[in-house]
Amino acid sequence: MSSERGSPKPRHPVELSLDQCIKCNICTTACPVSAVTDLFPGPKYEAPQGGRFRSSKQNSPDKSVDYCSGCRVCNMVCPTGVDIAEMNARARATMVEQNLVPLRLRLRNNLIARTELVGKLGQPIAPLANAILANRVVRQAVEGVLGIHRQAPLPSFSRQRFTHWFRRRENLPQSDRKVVYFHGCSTEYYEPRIGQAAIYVLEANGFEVIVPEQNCCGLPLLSNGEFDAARSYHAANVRKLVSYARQGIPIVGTSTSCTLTLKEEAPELLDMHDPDTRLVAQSTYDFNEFLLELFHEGSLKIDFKPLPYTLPYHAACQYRAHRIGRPALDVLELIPDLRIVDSHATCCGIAGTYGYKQEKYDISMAVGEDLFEFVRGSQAPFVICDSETCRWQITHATGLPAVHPVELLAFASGLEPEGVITRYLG
Amino acid sequence: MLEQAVNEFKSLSERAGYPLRGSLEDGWIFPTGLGTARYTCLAPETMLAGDLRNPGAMAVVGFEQFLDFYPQLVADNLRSMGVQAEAIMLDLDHLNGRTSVTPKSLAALFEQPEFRERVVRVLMKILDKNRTARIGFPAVLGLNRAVEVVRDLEEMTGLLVFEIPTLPPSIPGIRLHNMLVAEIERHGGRVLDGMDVMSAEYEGDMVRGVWSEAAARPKLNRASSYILATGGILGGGVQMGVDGRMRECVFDLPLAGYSEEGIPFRRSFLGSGGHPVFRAGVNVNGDLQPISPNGERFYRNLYTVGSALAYSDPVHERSVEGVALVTGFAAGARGGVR
Repeated sequence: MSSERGSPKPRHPVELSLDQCIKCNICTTACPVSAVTDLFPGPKYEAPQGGRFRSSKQNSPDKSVDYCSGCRVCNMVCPTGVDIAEMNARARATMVEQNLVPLRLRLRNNLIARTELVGKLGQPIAPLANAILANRVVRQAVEGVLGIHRQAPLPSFSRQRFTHWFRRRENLPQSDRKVVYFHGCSTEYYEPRIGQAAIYVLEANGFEVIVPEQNCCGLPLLSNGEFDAARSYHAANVRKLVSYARQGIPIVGTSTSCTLTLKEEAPELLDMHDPDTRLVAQSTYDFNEFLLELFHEGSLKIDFKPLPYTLPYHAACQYRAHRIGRPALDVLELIPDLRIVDSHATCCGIAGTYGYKQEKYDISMAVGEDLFEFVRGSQAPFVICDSETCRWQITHATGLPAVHPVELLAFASGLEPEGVITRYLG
Repeated sequence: MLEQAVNEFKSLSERAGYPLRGSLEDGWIFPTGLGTARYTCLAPETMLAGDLRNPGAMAVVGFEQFLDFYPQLVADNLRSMGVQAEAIMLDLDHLNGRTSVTPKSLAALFEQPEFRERVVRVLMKILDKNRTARIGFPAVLGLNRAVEVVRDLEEMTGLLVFEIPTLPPSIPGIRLHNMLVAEIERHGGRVLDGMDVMSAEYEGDMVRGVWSEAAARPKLNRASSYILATGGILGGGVQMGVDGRMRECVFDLPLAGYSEEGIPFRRSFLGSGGHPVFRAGVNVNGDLQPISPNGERFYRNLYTVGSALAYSDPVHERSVEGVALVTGFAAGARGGVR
């Protein structure tokens, strides 16, 4: 029980934490999903209670576990450290393994969970793909055939892949201070502007940025119970990243769910505890977590230009699940005159791929209502959020554009990033 | 200090729109969710009409669909103490079809005027107004606008309305939590959930940071002052290892208070003298700073509050919130507030 100072706390196996549940119901009280639907009876019923009836040789006792959005709010509030969300994720994976998910839904889940494949197929024909996906009739047909909700916020493919932009740059800065950038699928295929802002900020701080070959982090597959496929993705990422980790080069990402997956979700859910996986996990940082470390070391460039604005901010569930506080707020507070107002909302509802599903879209929108009300009432030109799917959901529900904190930092550092920030503040 | 802490806390609650009433000299006696009597110094306005010293007959209302509150049990036990109390169980169609009715879902419903009207309509058909002076509901009368909800119910029924605490999770507890978090943030603080503090970093007689558990690697949290508020053996601030040694979990401070023989347990868990293990905690000087058995202060910027302190048995004394309030206030005044 005595832990060495600053060393990782030894974690217990997920299923063993079941017996630590004291039935206090705090998780059920905090759960944003069971608050809006009876289809999900609550984390306590599903994970620790249902867990006692789950056996590898038996069918899952309760299919309603599929309505868990995986937001991990239950884990955050549990006073006894029960790995509730992980138990639910594993129960869902068992349902998939036991073929208890209808084939049509499984096909749908596999499509929306393979973000890299979708990006590779759609991005090269971005104008056409975007036009098709914006077509109402097509969306109705897709909903009917595949079960992807017609109104769900599908992002637009970008005209240029982030890595194409990155590799075409010339006179790249060389430095002893090196950092690996993990861009994730969203930056690569949909929002390259975020990667461009990240590169700008890192290089402005004297780093040589390495963008190695990488693939999808596998989180959408984990969230849909497709553990075997997720394992392949994660193992491939570990192979591609571990040599940098061995050299002590930090791996930094702007997609907070990707960095959480590299750090914890994948190793824990998939029981991947080999030294390479552990080293990659320990070398991975959320972007603002990394910048805040630099600030504490005294090496962060903080000559930001003043931004006399009040802007709303939402800390995504996956961001809070890092358990690193609110580094984005800490870093943004370094910009003179900028005032950030935290939403304090539990969840936007999208939870990765959850809100895209026909049967879960309404739940997802109901879950996010508190946040949407906060954003609508902010009177701000845009909202700030670290997670891509949350940004898309917020914009879908409120009509307000959403940006990553790094875009604001880049703007305050002198870059005129493509998109809403330059349009409104430039 | 006691009086100042209580008064400041009352002012804070008043500002937050959820006033707590009472004083050190004049407290309250309220019914619990079991129908027993509970003495308290401060209570939210929404509970005041339930004071058992008042003679008015009460109707204790429950809901068929809400399984964690038993009005009959409350009324039976109150009657055995000479309090006039009748149980009323409401069957609300509106709640049928819901798989689980929780305190939080009821609190959200009570904030809707239409739901309150529905409740009152069903209730007034059963309630004998001539034999009732006040109505006790489970403490689920709204999360953010409880005072307004109680007033509205009083207007609609023409009777006094009050809340009776329920089994956990406690809606009044969540209201209190939200109120305190808002106050901390108003002062520039930030409250972060789900980050278990594991250990600390030091420089001479100063604490320089506390390590908390996080994804992949621990996180170092820095501040100018630190307040140890991790609780005693029930809160997890004090633990016992397999070697039988008890320890304070973050700063590894020596423990005091649990017994002269160093034996933290005794056979009678609910004995009238309390239980020694609950008295285990950190010994402090007059500034609430942890001290060694010789009386030497360990760190200049570390304070200890609440159940983490030695010598009080909050379970036996019923003093958890009182000790927390006063010591929290004192520590804040000494170094917790920038």
